[in-house]
Amino acid sequence: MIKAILVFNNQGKPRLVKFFTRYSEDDQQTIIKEVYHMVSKRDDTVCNFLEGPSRLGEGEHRLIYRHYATLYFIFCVDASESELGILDLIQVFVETLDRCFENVCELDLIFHVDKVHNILQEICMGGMVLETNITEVVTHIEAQGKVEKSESSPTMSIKSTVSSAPNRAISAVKNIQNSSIKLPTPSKIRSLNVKLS
Amino acid sequence: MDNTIQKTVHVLAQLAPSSGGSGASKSFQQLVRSIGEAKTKHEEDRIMKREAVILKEKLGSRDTNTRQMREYLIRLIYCEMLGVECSWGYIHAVKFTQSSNIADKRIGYLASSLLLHPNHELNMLLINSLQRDLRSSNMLEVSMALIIICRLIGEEMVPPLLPLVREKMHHPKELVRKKAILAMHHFYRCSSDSIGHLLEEFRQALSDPDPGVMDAAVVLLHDMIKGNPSAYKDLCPAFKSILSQIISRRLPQTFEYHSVPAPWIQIRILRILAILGTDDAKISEDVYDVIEATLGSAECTSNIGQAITYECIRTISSIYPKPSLIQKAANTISRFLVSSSNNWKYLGITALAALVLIEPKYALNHQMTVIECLDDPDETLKRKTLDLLYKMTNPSNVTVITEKLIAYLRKTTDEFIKTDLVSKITQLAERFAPDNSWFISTMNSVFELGGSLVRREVAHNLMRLIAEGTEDEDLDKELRGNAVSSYIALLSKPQELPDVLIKIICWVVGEYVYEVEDEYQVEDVLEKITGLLQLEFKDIRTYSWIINSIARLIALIGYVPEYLHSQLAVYLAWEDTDVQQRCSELFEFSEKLELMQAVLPLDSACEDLEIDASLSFLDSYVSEALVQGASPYKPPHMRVSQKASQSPKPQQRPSIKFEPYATPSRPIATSHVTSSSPSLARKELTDSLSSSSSVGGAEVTRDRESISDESKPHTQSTLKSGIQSKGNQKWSRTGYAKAAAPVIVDNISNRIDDVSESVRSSTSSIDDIKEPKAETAANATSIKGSSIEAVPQIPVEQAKKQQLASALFTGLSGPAQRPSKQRRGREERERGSSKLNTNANDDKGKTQETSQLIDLEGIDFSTTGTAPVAAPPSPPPPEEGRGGGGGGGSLFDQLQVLSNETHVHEDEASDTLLMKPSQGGGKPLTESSTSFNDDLIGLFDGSSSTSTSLTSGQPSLPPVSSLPSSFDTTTSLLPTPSPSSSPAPTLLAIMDAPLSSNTVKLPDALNNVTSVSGWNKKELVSDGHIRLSVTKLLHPDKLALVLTLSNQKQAPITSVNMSCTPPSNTKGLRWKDGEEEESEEDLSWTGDLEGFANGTLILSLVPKGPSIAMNLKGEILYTDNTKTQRRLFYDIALYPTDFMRPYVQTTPQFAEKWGSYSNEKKLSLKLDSIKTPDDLMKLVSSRFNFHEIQIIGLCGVFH
Repeated sequence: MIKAILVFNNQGKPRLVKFFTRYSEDDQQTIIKEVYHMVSKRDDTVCNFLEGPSRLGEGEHRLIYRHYATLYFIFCVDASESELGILDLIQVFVETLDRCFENVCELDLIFHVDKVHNILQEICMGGMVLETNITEVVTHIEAQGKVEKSESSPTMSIKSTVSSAPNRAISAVKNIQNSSIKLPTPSKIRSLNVKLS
Repeated sequence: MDNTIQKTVHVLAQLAPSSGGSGASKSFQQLVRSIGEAKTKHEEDRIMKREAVILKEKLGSRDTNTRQMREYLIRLIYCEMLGVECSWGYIHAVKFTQSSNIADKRIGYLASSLLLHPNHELNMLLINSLQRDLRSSNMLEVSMALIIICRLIGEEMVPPLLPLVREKMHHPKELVRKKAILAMHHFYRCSSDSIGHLLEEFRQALSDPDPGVMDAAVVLLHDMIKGNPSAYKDLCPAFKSILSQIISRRLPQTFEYHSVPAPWIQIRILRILAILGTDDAKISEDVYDVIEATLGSAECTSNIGQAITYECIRTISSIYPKPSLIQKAANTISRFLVSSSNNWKYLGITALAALVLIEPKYALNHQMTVIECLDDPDETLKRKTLDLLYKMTNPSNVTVITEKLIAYLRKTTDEFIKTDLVSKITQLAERFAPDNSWFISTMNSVFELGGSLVRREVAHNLMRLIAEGTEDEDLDKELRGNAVSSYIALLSKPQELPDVLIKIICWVVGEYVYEVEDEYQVEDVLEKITGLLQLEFKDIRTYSWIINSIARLIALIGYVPEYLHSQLAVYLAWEDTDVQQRCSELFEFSEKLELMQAVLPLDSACEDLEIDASLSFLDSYVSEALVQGASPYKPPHMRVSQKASQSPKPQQRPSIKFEPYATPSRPIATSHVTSSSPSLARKELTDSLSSSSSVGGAEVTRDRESISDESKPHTQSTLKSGIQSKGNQKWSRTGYAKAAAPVIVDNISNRIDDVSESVRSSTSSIDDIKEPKAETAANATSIKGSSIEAVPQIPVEQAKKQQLASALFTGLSGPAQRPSKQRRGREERERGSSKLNTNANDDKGKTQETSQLIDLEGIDFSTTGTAPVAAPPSPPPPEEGRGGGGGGGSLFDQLQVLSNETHVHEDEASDTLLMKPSQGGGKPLTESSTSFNDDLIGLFDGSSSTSTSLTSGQPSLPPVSSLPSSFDTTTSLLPTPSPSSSPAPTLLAIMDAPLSSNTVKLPDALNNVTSVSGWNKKELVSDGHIRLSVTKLLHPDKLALVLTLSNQKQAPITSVNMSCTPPSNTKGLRWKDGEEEESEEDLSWTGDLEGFANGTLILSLVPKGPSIAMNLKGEILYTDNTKTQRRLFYDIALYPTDFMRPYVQTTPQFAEKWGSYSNEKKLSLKLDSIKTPDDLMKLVSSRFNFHEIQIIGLCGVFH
């Protein structure tokens, strides 16, 4: 099963932390630091699998990670998961984020942490892979959004148009600073695939 | 990058000043910005603390609306993610889960799931909302609840939620069904038996119309199958058909990923097939074709296609092997290895490592790739490759591979990797070492590089190897010389050495420096060793080793250099007492150098130190104290059991006084009271002493554990039988009433008897002391010119050595056989001695009996003879001029001759055995000579079980039975013939006979006895080798237990010892010879079991007092076909009903009691319903709970 999903940026600042197995607060922080330490010094050409820090517990643990522009996506898994399978699951997760946020960037992960978690919950539940089809996940997320909207009161709906302003702002900023902060576009991701195979 | 964020955030703040967006208020943006700007961790912490204070205030305030609350909760998550504790805010998250607004609820659940953990106390508050949401008609709420269950529900909260989740497995929406199954998976992980009863529903889910639900069911079943593969073998066809449907693309297009159909499901099913097919030829046979098809269909250009290929190879290598499939898998591996992607190489190497375990030759095709991977800069890949190398090590390449591993060990700094490498290298070195000097040098580098990570046993192994060496003296000399020189060389840079290596160096140099006396000056070495004292060690005991070494060196050079006094003075007051003691010993010795040299002789590491574990040298002191009226020592378990047996019926023996000082009586040496009715107190005495003396006798074994274990049942049984011999008590009032009177009379005379008994047993303990010597002699002669193990063998080590031996024998050519020969020699030695040990052990109990027969003249000897014996560990001087002992002394020589001969002429040897009593001068046999018998029998057993038939032993028996009566007790030492074997007496142990039939022949008395229902051949314990079953038989006055031990395999099992300890309130007896008679002896069975043979131990338990919970505990020790010692424990529950029998009372008996009890109860009866006395009887019995005794005419006698 998947023990933890960690996302942090090149500086090691955590952007998304989700543990599926219980670790104490201190352990969680140490694991994040250790994992960052292990992953950050690796070259992009070496393989994406690592033997996990012993702090993750008894038995064999592996870190399977992908590095996109500014972010590291790391899945800590035990021996019952397939390495390449998880590697592609990370790809599925990132592509889904990309669909939901339209060119996902680090900022989306900071300011829409709840949405990111929702997406993650649709892909992976209780440490097990729940859904791997990107379209399905996106459909679920959209359906949820609709239900939430329909439930909000009429007064809220007025506000919601106002509140969409920052969203638009974010996407505006993204467009301005396209080159430096953007994650690889889907086309880039695909090219990565080609390179791998 | 942070810069960019800051800029962005800044821009954002300007663009959207009004805030309130989904999770991005102004203050939150500021927070993110300031965190980004923080230069140090400290500054960041400060900011976060401030943020926490703000949040605490805001969350607590009443005028925050729900929208703001949502944002605060998200900020709370942010704080927690950065490691700030915000437990005060958790309650708000929980409150939000109860909100009716779905957005609020979602945030509430999200925050709870991220902030809480399964054991959090607030979880209890969630149960309510979870239950409500699970019942909700809104699919979203149900989904959220199911997700939160996976995250937060602990074992104790499963029951209230399980029924609701179970309902959801049939929800119309497939997404809910899927999540419900994954929630079930979480329940399974919480407690594996919580969902066992729902298996049928999971099977149905496998055939769910939605493949996604099926996927979830596969995930769940995968973990269930992993827990217990054998229970789910029948699911194999289902998985097989799912897999074949997937690869034939029957699933909807949406399940394809990069045009591979449902790859994750494929991977999961392949893993399941691997588990199911492991060691199961039939299932493997079934799945070969589908795996082959999957392997064929998996494309090799995409990641996910390769993932499936890799999974196929893994499955093929773990199921029952099929050569053609393995060949195919091996061919596919090259697809991974030639790839430019390190990910694929990594998997290729891993797959290869799995395949070489089955067939090493496949590694050959990829040699070059492997070598390349080894030099790859990629650490992960390199480590996997080293792992592969480790797996393909064999005797011919061990040196190269170990070199590679050590080179890597030298470079790496990671503790985790180091530990792993160190254990791998030690394993390889221990398994494949071509010769001892290579082993020593390899181990030295391991200790040098990762000393603190090596297991302690490894260090001991190394020292033992150096100490024991081979059978070739010259080689040993060379080996030790090399070792010492290499260690002295290491001493030039002691700062870098780990503690373990320092200890080894000290020991080896101290012991064997004389081997290199011509190269090094011992004085210089001493100086170097003394120099070590200046270092700081993690383990302060290291100083003890150094001081010990110094002491040895001083003994060697014969004087104490001046500088030592000042250097060592510090350690006289060291914090560790062990160091202190060794140091002061050294100072004491330095006054008397000659004594020191005597105590620390050269090359003495392998000599046996005899440790008198029984402290028998104290026996004279103890018996003296007892004579003075001291209270006898009771081991703790006796104290408890005595209380237990005493408490149920204290009023029954009012006359027995348990206070030891109540009736002090001096022993009268000539009082020779027959011990026909020994009391409890007397038994305590004998027991306390006999346990020590019998242990002394068994000390020959040098295996302390087995001594204490085995002596326990014996001593306890003597205790019990002592109590029991008051007369067979039944659980009837008459029985108890009768017993009360005579005990009072016996009591005092028994006390006198006690003391004389104790004196006698101390005599026996003196006799025991001779035994170790006999044993040593026997060993020394049977193993020519070799040293004897000083350290008791640990079975695991033994097994390892044997493995090593066999590996070396099969795999290696000429020169490498040297060490293996030596090792095998050692192994044989061990086996031989263990044979002796077990046999000496069995009969220990009986020798005890013999010792009680010794005449009174023995007492005199004992009192005079104990003094010189009292100084261990030096061997006690043989006591010359003793009546029995004189004969014994000559027997030592006899035995030496015998044991040499036994290998060749068993018959002759057994004849000589029979001559022994006459050599003993016709005197009553002493303990020592009986124990010779044991040893000899041991030798016979050992050899007869290997080659000779039992007839060689048979002729010897008739003469034995015709021996003088004083020898009769010895005849009982011979293993008793089985009740089921032929009537002719044999030397074989009970169990060997029923080879052909697995049924157990019971003694006649037990033949027609009913067994307790549910306890007929009930299996108690079993492992791969043996199975123990028990039958409880309700004999009229006792409970008989038939313990049947069966060998489950073809291979014979040797040195079986099955012993048991009955509960304290029963008396255990063993059935012998199938006769009605019961012999009171230790309740154990020993012998060897051929393939599929049975061994039976029949016991009777006679109750002495009532108890609700009783347990008969026992253990089985045996050596399996790989010469590994194994141990099994069993436990038989005994119920009061096992001991209850219908109480039959006759009218006259009843008449005796008539009038002694009276009770009145009125009952009005309707006379019209009663026609006959029978009717009345029935009515009265049912209304009053009366028991009918007899109907005489119209009178009914009730009880």
